[in-house]
Amino acid sequence: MRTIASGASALRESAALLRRLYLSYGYEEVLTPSCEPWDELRPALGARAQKDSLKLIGDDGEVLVLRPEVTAGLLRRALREIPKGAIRRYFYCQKIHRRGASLTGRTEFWQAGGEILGGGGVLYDAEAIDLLGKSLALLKVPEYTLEIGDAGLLGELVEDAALRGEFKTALARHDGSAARALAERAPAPMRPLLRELPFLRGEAGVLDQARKLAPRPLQALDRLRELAQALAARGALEHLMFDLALSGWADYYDGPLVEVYVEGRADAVGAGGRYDGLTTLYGKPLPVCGAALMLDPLLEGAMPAERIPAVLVIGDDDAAARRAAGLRADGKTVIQIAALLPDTLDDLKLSYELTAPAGRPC
Amino acid sequence: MLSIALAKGRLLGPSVTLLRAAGLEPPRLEELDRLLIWSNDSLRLILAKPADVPTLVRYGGADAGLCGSDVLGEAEHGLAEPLSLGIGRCRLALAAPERGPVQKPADCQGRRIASKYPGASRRFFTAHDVDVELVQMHGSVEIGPLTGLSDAIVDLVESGRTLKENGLREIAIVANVEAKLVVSRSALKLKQLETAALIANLRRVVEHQP
Repeated sequence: MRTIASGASALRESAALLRRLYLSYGYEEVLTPSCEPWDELRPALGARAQKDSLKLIGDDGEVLVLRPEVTAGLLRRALREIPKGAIRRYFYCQKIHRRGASLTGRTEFWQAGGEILGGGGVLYDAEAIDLLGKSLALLKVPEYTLEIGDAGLLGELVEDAALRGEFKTALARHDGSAARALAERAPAPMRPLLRELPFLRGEAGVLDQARKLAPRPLQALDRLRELAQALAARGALEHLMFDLALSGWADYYDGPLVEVYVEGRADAVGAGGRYDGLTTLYGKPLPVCGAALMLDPLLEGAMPAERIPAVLVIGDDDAAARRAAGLRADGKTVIQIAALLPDTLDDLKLSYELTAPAGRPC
Repeated sequence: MLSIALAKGRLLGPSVTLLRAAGLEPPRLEELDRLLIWSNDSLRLILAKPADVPTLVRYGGADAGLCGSDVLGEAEHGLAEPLSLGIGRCRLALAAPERGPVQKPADCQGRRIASKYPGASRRFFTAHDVDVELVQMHGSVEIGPLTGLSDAIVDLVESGRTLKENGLREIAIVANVEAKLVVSRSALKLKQLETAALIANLRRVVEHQP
């Protein structure tokens, strides 16, 4: 049975697993502030993060925001210190705060992932996506899919910003009827591909379908083809699907994108992509990509992997206290209880592998 | 197995006909009408109140659903809406008493409007730059003007007979309505072959409809 303690334990174990994974790829763990000035963070937040973020008013009337996502705050700081020509990899596992979509009213969620600053090109895009897949495997998520798209595709097909915005809204719903109607307002050579975008989803073959419908070679399709090859070389194609309607839940994506879907969850439980344009907001243009998972939906129902070996000392007298202290000094986990009541032992055995002080199992 | 939620009521018959034309094998309507859930080896059909179809799909009760765009327009369900189905066509319309003070949308300024569709109504009046007081009702909205509860209504209109029988006149179209296929994002991704086949088969039928 999951308890508040087992939930915390499962989270810490998972965070430790992911931390080891990312550090083995040369990432450094970072922590960003829980609360920042709204005016400094807002320009880098997408429209949805702005809308869903939780704000506070400071004593002096300043508007502050609880961390709605890690990327913006991390970039703000990392860009100040990253030397020219350097490539830095950052891992994080922190809480973010947002108005949730569900009726539970929950507003805080654990997010874990990585960002690569200074690395442009398919090697880094593939690494960010591959690490998501490896994270899901480590967390023993049984059924998942990584959906890959490219935020730049729509921009290559639709120049008009207002029409592009309408398309983006229609594609977010995979709305074939709306896409068909909107395509009629786009230049004729673009229409065949625009009409089909909501339906172009599947294995790498959809990239060939798109190429045949495209009026000319498209950089976004070339990037996706390269990414597919890079991921194949890493053995990461098994859970991969291409979805050319993907345009990114955050406005700042401008290249390859990924969204993570798992059995039983309607919404994506992870996302990421390339967002080189975001760094120009901070006056330091740099290639950047990253991806993260929301841990809470992945850990629902998760229990700690193993029961902890512990020694059970029964008694509330000085002798029992000395015995417990002696065992702890020897490095043992010791649980001391005043008396053994009928259900106490069964309850303790849910979380602990118990032995008596003399060493025999309880 | 693919599970599809179907809206009870006027859409059910056309939905079943459409699914059959798309190569699925639903039971006869008479059999389905008496059940909440029907299934065979490959298909599960769940009958629900129209407003509950998107909720069922959203929260995993069904992989896909057929429901009216009127229902979809009232909340952000986060579902994929790949196809308009060409069935269940009607319209959401602004209607008011035949010889009353509301003869055009602008006449609604400052007035009270009753509707089961506050979302669509709000968007309509915002687009017309008209401030109204919206009152949500859940049953026969026509009683709004008849009882003095409201000056006008926004409601679904098919033939217009109900409006006429209650002394109301259609003033403007708020939105055209038809049935849509909705699919959960999770099913779209994790049951990719089944949902792609459903979409392709329905698309084939819909695009060849006269």
